[in-house]
Amino acid sequence: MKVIAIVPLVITIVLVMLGGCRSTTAPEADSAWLGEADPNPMQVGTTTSIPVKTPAGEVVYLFINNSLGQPVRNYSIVSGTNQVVKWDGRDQDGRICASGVYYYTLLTPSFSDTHKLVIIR
Amino acid sequence: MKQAVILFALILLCPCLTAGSQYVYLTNGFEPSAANLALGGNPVAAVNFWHNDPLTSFSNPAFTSLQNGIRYSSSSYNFLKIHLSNGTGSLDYKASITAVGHNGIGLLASIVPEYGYETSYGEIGVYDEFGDLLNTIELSERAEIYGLALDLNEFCKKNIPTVKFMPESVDLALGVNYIRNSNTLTGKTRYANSFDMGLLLRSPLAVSHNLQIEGALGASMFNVFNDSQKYINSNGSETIYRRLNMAAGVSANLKNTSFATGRSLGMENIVSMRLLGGGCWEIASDEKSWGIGTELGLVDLFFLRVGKHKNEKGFIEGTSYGAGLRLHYKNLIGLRYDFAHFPVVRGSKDKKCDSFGFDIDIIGLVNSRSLDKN
Repeated sequence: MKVIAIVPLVITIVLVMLGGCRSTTAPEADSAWLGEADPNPMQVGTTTSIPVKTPAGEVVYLFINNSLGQPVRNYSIVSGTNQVVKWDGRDQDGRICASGVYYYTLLTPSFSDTHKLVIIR
Repeated sequence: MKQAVILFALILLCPCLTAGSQYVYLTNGFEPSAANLALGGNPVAAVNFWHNDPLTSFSNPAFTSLQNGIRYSSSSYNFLKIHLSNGTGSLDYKASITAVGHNGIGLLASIVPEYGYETSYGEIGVYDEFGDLLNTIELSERAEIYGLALDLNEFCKKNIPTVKFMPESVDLALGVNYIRNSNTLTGKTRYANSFDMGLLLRSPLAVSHNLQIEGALGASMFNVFNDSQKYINSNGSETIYRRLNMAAGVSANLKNTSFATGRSLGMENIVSMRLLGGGCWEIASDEKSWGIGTELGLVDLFFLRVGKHKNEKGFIEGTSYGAGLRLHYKNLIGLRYDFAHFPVVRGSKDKKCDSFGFDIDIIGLVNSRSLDKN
């Protein structure tokens, strides 16, 4: 039992040491988790990396909205452990998004979390 | 949990995504008036001039010329009801506008406070490559607004009565708003200018002893000169939020016959009923929205409103509703409060807007007292 209890702690420590976790909430072993985009603010022509963790056996979605609430880009993510979604600052039609505040949300049937992202041109 | 599942299912059914993110200063697209939000939102706002509310002049600058006296109105709402695990701030939108009108000419300004609207996105942290926090940026967008409007028939009638270039039964109002946009996305304040223009055409359709029916057509355009903001790091620029709004409305009023004789406490209408409908077109993204709304007014005091809003792509649609209270004396001095519920992105919570304001027509009050003494 003690070994099982230590697993989430070890995972958290490893993630922090690897620099892959800047969230105020540390990821739990069996739950989804959404990390901070890096870089943020991002500049057009670059790609920002959004770390996500998805529970095994679930297909989850990461969607990006603008500040009017309009959908900009959707990603479907096949379940896995720690993954990185790379966004190039373009909408679903390939057009470059304007400067502004955007929101990216990780959504599973049991989890929802939203972070802010800024694009600067 | 339930909400997340619903939203999850809706996303699967919604493959059509938009290109609305081709503009900077997207928050110019927010509707500040609670009365307009309750009646279907942006699409009807270009024609809804039947309120002594300067916030309605944001969507159609021509409205500023239609009322006499000093008017102030303020509204606020939280426009994205989402949980932000990394957010330290809110997503608040606040708008405040002051307007002055007399004899068919109107001026509008964002005086108290100095911005017409402010959208606060909270703050984000900026990190270095090692994940260490370098600094935080307070994210916001603001707009200072200054407007000028002319109600042509009213202006000519009161100021140059010899000039008559339109039938008296038709009233045309024109207006322009200058918007000084600013944002803090880079940590420093950046500015960009744009202009909104609007017109309103109205005419009585039927008039009898105690019934008045009026029709109106309104149109306005945000960023009419296609102004833009320069890039920070390279040559070129990006367009400020741009939209064309067109709407039509009919208003029927059952008149209070004792109002004209001065034996009434200020209830010009016993019952009023309005039907409005219109559409918006975001030009660069070719995105369209429609809205319809109806309003029932009782003794110019209580107002009930319901509307329907639909986006072409279908991601924001639903029923809007709200109510208003206006305490006033003969349309010369008044206080108002309005609230509205408006649909936002499917699966998210409704947008709730509150608005309050006051108006006073000092010249009208003085004239009214003089008449009473005589």
